Amino acid sequence: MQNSLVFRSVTKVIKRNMGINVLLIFSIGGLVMASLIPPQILKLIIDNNLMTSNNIGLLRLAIAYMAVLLLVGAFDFIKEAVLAVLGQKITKEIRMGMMEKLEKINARFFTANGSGAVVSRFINDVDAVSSMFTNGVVGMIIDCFKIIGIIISIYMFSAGLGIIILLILPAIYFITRTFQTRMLKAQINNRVLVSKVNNHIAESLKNIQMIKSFSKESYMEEIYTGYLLKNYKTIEKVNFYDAVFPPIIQITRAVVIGAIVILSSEQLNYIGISLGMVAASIELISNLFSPVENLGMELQNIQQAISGIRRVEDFYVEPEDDRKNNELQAHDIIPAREDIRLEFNDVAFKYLEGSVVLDKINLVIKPQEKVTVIGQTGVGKTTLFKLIMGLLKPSKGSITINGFNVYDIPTREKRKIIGYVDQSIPMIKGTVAEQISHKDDNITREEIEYALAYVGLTEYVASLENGIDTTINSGALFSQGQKQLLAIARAIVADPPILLLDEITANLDSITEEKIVAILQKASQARTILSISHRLSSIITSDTVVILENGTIKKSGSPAMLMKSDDWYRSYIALEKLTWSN
Amino acid sequence: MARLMIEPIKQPDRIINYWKREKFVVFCIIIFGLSFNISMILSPIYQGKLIDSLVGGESLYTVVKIALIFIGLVGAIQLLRYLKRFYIRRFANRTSAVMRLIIYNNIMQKSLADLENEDTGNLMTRAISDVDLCVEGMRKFTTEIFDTGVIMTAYLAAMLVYDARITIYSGIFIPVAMVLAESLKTIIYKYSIDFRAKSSEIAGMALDAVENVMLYRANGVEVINRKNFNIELEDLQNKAIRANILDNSMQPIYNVIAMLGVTTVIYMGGTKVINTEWTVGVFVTYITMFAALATKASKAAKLFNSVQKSQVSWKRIKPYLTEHTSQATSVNINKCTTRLTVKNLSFSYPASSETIIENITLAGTSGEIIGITGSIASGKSTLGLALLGLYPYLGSISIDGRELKDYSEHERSRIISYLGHKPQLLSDSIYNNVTLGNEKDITSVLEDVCFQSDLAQMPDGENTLVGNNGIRLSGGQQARIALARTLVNKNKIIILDDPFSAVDMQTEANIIANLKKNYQESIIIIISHRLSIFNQFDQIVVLHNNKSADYGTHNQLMENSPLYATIYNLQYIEGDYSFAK
Repeated sequence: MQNSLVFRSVTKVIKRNMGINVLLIFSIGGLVMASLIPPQILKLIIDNNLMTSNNIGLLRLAIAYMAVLLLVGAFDFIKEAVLAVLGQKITKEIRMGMMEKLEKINARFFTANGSGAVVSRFINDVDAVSSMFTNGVVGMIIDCFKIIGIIISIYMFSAGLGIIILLILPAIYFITRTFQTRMLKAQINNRVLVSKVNNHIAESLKNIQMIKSFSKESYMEEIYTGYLLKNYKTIEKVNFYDAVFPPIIQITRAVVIGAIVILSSEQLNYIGISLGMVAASIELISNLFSPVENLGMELQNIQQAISGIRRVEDFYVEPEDDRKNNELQAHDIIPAREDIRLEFNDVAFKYLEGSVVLDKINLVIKPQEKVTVIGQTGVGKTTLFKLIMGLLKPSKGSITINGFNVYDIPTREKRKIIGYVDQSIPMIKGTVAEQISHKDDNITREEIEYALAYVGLTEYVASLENGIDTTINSGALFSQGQKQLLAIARAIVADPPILLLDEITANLDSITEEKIVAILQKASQARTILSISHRLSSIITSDTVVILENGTIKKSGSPAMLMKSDDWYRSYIALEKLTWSN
Repeated sequence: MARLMIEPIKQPDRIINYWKREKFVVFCIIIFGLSFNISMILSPIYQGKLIDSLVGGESLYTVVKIALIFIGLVGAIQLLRYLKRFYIRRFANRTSAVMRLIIYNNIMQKSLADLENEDTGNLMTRAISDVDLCVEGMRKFTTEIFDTGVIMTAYLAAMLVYDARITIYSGIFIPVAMVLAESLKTIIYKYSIDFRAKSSEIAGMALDAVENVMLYRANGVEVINRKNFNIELEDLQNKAIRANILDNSMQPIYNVIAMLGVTTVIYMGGTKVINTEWTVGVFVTYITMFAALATKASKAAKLFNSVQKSQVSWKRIKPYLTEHTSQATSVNINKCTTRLTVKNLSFSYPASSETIIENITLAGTSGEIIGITGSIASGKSTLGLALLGLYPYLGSISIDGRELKDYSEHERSRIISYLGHKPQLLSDSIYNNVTLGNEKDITSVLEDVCFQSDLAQMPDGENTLVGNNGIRLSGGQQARIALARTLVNKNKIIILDDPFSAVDMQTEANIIANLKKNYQESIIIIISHRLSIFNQFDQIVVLHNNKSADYGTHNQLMENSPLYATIYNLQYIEGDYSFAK
């Protein structure tokens, strides 16, 4: 329980908002009590005034009745408002907890989990959890009190009637639950079909080229109609339960009322209560049905929310990265820019499931050396880069910069040491400047402008509506090549002495490509460069080429040496020059 | 009967037509809606009579009789209620199915070029949640005509009959509550829109944080992002609280205001009982009716609010609600030997102005295999797509002497079959994926693509389900099933874009042999960057980056095309090297 994020968040919110809690308890208590009073007043009116035909105090009672209703309304309002506040605070607390977790979570988590699924935990599951708390748990407490209150009220009129109601209660609950569970079952069946109906649209759009080329629109429509029809039938079933339930409750209520009246008739006089009490009891019993109904629904909500809690908690216990050495600072690691040794000491990496990605990687990269890593797809090149950036921890061995383990370097210091140019060129939410700074306050506006000038985007950015403060709403603002230039600007803005180039330039027009090559050549001077095989590896000269095969270094050496000694490398380079797929 | 239910309607963009279409269901709704809501006033009346029977000290027989009438009456009323509820839901259910079908038809009949301009996520939202919201609004609207309009009138009429003066005095607050709720509606709407906008912004932020997590981590800005996230969450929290309080918490307040007249009811009604103008039963009946009326009134604003919200959805789906169309299926295809002639073909995608391929000229006849190759971005896949005829092109593509443009879409699909980069399998059985609904024996085509040994491993054989996107099959199996689908009809022209990338070289060679043997009636066009099989082809097109092209047989190109010869030799070495094992 102590480690549970939901539990901790709830207790934290409760502890921090004592005033609100008191208000909640007060309003719940008030609501339960006050809503028991109107039937009592009704009883007094009937017994004291109407049955005895005197109007003394009638006006007072009428006003009191109104006053109590006002009170009920006020308590109800406060309760709803307070619950809204508490519920939202809990939601926020859980989301913040998850966000903190996201920072520490092991990078492997993201290879196994799609971002859509993770975001759904952040949004839908957390919403479900907080509504379980406000509507489920608190609602249940209120309803229990209401039921107890009503039974006590009736018991005070007549012990016999109280006992009868107590006996009827499980029956009402049973009827309610039966319907609710059947309905739930029908809904679950329906949900399966709804997802088929929806999936068919997604599938049709995904395979639209195939469908069009085979002219199979009508065939797909037929399948769709089939799903719609099945869906129609399951909904019809849900509708039956939905339509029949409230009428059944009303009929049950009528039977109970009829029975009470018969039992309290003069002849039987089984219960022995006054007429006012009969009227009040009818009122109370009418009020009894809704909390019982709610109780079933709340139980169901809680059951459903439990899977949400489980998903949130599962996320929270995902393995984390080891603590970073927060003392480490970039200038301690790299006292002089010219003097950087990047070393791979017998590095191995495998995913938890067991398949070895990299093994026995030994490499010493001298200051300002240019290294290119090549190999077939899936050979572990990108994993190697993630290890260098300290995003993944080697299963064995270590990667060091001037003797410092890269995995220990705190993330805030990283971009001062290593710049990373991504192949996928992601654009983040925000302005042009924020594409480069990533909202890092330590990066000045001058530095951003310098980086933009460096990649030759100053003029283009100035032509945008708000210059570098233009918000990027769609991907259309920058061309593919310009995005690549932005990614370079982002990598060099903190002036790191090491640059990692990940498989850049795909589908660029030749003019932009030339520009990118020129900028990369400029950026390469006075830096240590590691690049993954890309079409430019033959243009940007490298000192050393590393050929990876089956997760190990097959061969490494100067391009000239490999050209002589390795057939594969020779034809690889030749094909690359002819821009042929490898 | 069931099959008849989901059928398109005329003029689907006029909302009234959805009610007109369901004449019987709507008739039932009207009958049961009216009878239920009007007879609802009998329930409190008989509840009052029950109490009066106690007051009057009636005989046990009479009390039991009235009690039974009361129960029977409630039973009958509730039966009507059930029927009303059921038919309204059936109306919604049918309408939703019909709308979905029409929208689906609209989407599927759009041209590929049009669809590329549409946002897929947006289309999905319209076809799914907007239809739901719209139909929900239509259902509520239909319901509330009766459950609010009719019943409030009925209660009011009954109360006026009991006592006009009390009704007018006590009912004065009910419109006040309704007006208040109505006037707050715009504010609530604004706040809830604010809240929803913020909520999707937060979802966007969370997605951004998760998708770019490695980027942020590499740049060490996660802590900054978390601070921003905290600020935005605080904002969301406040907006959510505001929207929630206004939307839900105000309900009891409206109710109390509408109930303010209860003092008048009790005092004046009580006085009437004391003066023996009313019985106690009537008094109870009247209070019950009054409370029911007040509750209905206080909820009315919220209900109509949700109807209004659904109008937004209706506006969003309206452009997609067009007359149902299906394609002409008449076929006019020359059965004799196929002749394909391409002259000066140029092509660019509709979205851009860049010409991808230029001045391609080639000709082929049945039984030939034509290979197309070229470097990255030389346009070899584009040439395949252009020959398929789904997009507009310049120059001429003629099949059996008739221009490709002039064939209908359906005819074209009977002449040409095409296999793109992705297998594009449907989540259905192998059999259905190959035949796409045309009943046919697929044993021989599965043999042609060397699938028989794979099939032998599958307990369900041809009925094996391939899963979403073919996930239950291996990459090579997916590729071969997609190939089988392209081959099964032995169309006159078969275009295969990189069909063997997920298949090993031996299988590739076997499949080529089967194609040569069993598809003599067809022209097969194979696009690939792997040249190892090209020596078996009848003619080859090599595309250059400068948009020129070399034509010839393998032997001719080995002599005349330096690029072709170089690539072939290089791949031979590299292939030797990496496939030797």
